[in-house]
Amino acid sequence: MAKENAQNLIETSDYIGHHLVNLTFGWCEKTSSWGFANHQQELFESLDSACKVSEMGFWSFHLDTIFMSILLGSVVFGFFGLVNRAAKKGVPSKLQNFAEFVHEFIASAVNSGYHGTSKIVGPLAFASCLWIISWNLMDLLPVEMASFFGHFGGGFNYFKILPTADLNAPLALAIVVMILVTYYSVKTHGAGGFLKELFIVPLGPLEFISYVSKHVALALRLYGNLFAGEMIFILIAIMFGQFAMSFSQTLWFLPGLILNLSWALFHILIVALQAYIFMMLTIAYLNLASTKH
Amino acid sequence: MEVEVGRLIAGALLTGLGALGAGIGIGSLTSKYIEAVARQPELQGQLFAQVLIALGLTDALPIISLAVGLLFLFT
Repeated sequence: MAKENAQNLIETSDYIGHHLVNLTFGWCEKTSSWGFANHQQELFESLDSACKVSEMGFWSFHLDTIFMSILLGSVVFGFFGLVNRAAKKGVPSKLQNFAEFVHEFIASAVNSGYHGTSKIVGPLAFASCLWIISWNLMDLLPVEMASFFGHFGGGFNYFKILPTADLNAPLALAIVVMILVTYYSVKTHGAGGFLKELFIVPLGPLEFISYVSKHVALALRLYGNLFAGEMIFILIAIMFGQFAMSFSQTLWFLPGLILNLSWALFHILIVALQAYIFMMLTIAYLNLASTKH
Repeated sequence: MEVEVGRLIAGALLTGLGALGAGIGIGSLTSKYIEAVARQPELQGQLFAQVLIALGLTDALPIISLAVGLLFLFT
C-alpha cells in the first residue's frame, strides 16, 4: 500500500525540504550566468540550465525574503505615516488612538530602559519591534498559501513568505545592532577604552566572546523561534494530509482545523514576545554601550 | 550503528533534553515569581513584564532544539 502510494505522493522529507527553500536568484558558476536556482528537479519540471542553490556561491539573493520584508515594512510604516499625516486636534480617530497606544508602549519601554543621550534609540526600537511583528505575523498565514500562489499564479516553485524563518533577515538586524553598539561604545569610552573593556577586564577575552555571541544569539533566537513555529505548521500539514488519505475523505479538514488553530493561538504569544524581546535587548545593549560604568 | 538510527536518536535526544532543561528553568522562574508576588503583591505589574521577558528567553532554547530535532527526525 505504502509502496503503491509512494509514486503518487510526495515523500515527507521532500515536502519539508520544499518548504524550507527560498526563492533564490544568483550567479551560477556552472553556466556563468545569473538566474533562479532550482533545487529538486524531480519534484517539478524545470529548466535544464538551472543551478542548484548549493552550486551558487556568495552572490545568491533570497528574493522572497527581500521582497516580503520591503513590502511589509512599507505597509507598516506607510500606515503609521498616513495616520501621522491625518492626525488632528480634538477627538482622535480610532486609528490614531491605536497608533498612539503603540507609540506610548514603545516609548515607555525606551524611557525606562535607556539612560543615554542618543536620539536614535527610540526610532530604532519602534522600527525593529513593528517590523519584526509584521514579519512574524506572516507565520500565521497557511503554510501552503505562498507556494500555491507562487506556483500556480507566478510560476515560482519556491516562495517563503516568512522573512524571519530565513536566517539572513534576523542576522541583518543583529548586525545593525552590533554596529550601533560598537559605535556608541567607542563614542562613550573611546577606542582604547572599548578595546580595553573587551580584552583586559578581569575575565580577559571572555568579554570579547560574550560581545560576539550576544549579537549572534540575538539573531538566532528570533530565527530559531520562527523557524520552529513554521516547522510545526508544516508537520501539522503533513499529519492531516495523511489523515485524509488513510481514514476519512469527508472529514479531512477537521484534524487540520483543530491542530492548526491550537498551535496558531499558542504561536501568537511567541510572535509578539519575540519581537518584544528583540526590542528590549536592543535597548539594553545600547544602554550598556552608551553609559559609563 | 546505522546512520538512520543515529539520526533518530539524535532527534529524540534534542527534543527531550531541550524540554527537560526548559521545564526546570521555567518552573524555578515561575515559583520565584509567585513567591515574590505573594510577598509584595503591589509589584506584580512590574514583575510580570520582567518574567515574560525571562520566560521568552528561556522558552527560545527548547523550541529551537525542538525544531532542529524535528528536522533530524523527518528529513
